Amino acid sequence: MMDTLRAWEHWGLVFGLMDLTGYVFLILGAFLCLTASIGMIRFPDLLSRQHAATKPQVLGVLLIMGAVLLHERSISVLAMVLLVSTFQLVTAPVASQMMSRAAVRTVQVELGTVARDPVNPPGRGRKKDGAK
Amino acid sequence: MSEFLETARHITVWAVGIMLALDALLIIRRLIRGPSVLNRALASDLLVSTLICAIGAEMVLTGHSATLPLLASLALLSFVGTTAVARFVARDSDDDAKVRESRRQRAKRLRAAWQEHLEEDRHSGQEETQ
Repeated sequence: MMDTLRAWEHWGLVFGLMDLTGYVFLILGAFLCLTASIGMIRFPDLLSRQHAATKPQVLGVLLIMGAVLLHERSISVLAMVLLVSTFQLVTAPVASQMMSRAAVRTVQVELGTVARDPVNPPGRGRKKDGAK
Repeated sequence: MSEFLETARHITVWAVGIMLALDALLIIRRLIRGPSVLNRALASDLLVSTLICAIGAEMVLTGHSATLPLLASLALLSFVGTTAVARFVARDSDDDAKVRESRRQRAKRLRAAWQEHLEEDRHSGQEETQ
């Protein structure tokens, strides 16, 4: 009897620590989202804005999903959280790459600010009417 | 422990609420001011991500898990929207007046060069006949 009570106290402490860690994760995730939006405002270029928009934002969403998982401790929540995290991790680089490719193709990027010319890479021979 | 957790929860509610609200306001500012369609698509993508964060934080702070499918559908939807915009974007900008002016100047220059070329052709043709 006493052993089970002690065990429950122990688990209560563990759950309390998990809740606390979840709050810390929430604050960190919200701070990372705020960082992303500050980068959105402060950065001068589309590509650097994209850099600010994808990386800290995805990490913030992952941290908040971790907080959800730490608070609702069940298998179904684990499955949904894994689904949302995988969506974020897979779709964010693809969307970012497609958007930067569209930006380069429609000449909205100052190509002097990019190290390699992404439209006409040096190996392939330059197109005549390519975007300079 | 439970009182401490309650205090931590209150602090977290205020901190996360203020940070996410500021986040959304800054993103909406970029959404209004961003000088091209791609900037606006990027900002709307970021706004949907902020919405995901806000719904997740609300779920944690009020202790339910009813809106998890909403999170999954939002994550998928933002990707589809951004990709569609990126596929069908054309060259445009809010300061398109400059671009249009330069296009007009370029057309003028090309037309002048073409006229010059025609003149040269005509002259050389005359020289050949002479």
